[in-house]
Amino acid sequence: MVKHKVKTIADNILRPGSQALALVTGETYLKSFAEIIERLTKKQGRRGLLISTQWSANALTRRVAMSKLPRNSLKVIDTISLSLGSKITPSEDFVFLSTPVSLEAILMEIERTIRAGGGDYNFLIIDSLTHLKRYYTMGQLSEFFHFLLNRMLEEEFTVLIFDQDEEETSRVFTELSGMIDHTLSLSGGGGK
Amino acid sequence: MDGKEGESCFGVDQLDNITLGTIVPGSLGLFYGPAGCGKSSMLYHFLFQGARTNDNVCLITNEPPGRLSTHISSFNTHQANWLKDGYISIFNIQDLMGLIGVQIEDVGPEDVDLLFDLIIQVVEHLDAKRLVIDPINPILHLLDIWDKPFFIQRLKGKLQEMGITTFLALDTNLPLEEMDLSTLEPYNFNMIISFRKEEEPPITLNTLKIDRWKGTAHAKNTYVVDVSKEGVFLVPRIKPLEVK
Repeated sequence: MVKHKVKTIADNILRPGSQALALVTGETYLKSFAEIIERLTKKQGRRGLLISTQWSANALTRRVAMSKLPRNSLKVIDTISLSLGSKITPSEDFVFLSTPVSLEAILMEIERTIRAGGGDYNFLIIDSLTHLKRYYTMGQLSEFFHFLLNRMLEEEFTVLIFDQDEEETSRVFTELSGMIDHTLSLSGGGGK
Repeated sequence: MDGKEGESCFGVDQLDNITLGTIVPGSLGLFYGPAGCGKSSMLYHFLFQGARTNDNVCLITNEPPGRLSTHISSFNTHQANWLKDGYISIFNIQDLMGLIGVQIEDVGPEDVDLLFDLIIQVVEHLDAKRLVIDPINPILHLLDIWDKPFFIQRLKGKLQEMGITTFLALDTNLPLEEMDLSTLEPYNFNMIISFRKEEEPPITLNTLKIDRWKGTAHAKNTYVVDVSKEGVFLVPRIKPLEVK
């Protein structure tokens, strides 16, 4: 698997309809994650969705510096804040789901957001496969991604799925890599 | 394709895709399941789709038409002129009973014939192409057990002759196999969709399954129904949650 820095990810990997699984480990994860969101929103001027199974709204606001992103460019479906008992501040940028949540609830929220957005959204980031694996079985994830990836292709969304596991031969990873266009390993940093 | 090439029959993409959008005009369908699990919303979209293609459609309900109009108008998929210009007509079943001169509590089996004739006259007068009776329970309640399938059969025969595609909504907690067959005679229906409420704490999922859709090799899967102001849509039911 070729190692990439966010800056060196080719544009065709981020083109509409492209689907990629990004393996990113420990120390480089946060930087890569924040940079890819910046690249899609600030640099490419796109609007998209983020499924957050790892960071609460408050943590995410700091980690990704959401206040510096263009207004309404990122809609977060947050499946973690409610279970952490975080203080929830109602915001049009966040939708809060309970955890562990049925995967259907995530699919429904994506559909609702896409419909309400009237075609304005065109990318989806899932952060992260690692956390989904903790809650759901292989069969459940397989059904979930099978539907989601097909649906996103119909909508011409760019899909990026983050996986933080060192083990790139996990069954979920292997099955997913057979369903999507690109698998890449992110090494973090802007490539300066 | 409900007589119109290239048009969907529900306007709910996923359901139209699953059923291949095929409804022969004059077909009779049944939606059954507990109250509040998405049957009515789905049927409103069936009517919307008729209005969208400039057909007159008719809804017979036990809710006050004013309140129902407000509910229907709350969907972004609804266009304001449909109610105003009479594409969608709503009748309250008790008002219809009043027109034949009886109160619902005084209605006897003999009055059901008058009600039947009135329903037929109403849809004929409106030149309606789609009819929804939601729920059918108050009418079935008036009939004794042997007259119920006869009523459904008569309704089917007449509406089929007139080319009016009709859906009945039945509020019940029973699965189809546990229903008294003499009450319903499922073979009277061209399409049958069952709705359920599935508890998956902390949420409850409304699901549907197509029990029968004559003329299609439809999927046997279960789907989760989501109703929001953006409309109705389905996502596949994923195996029940197992927290690791």
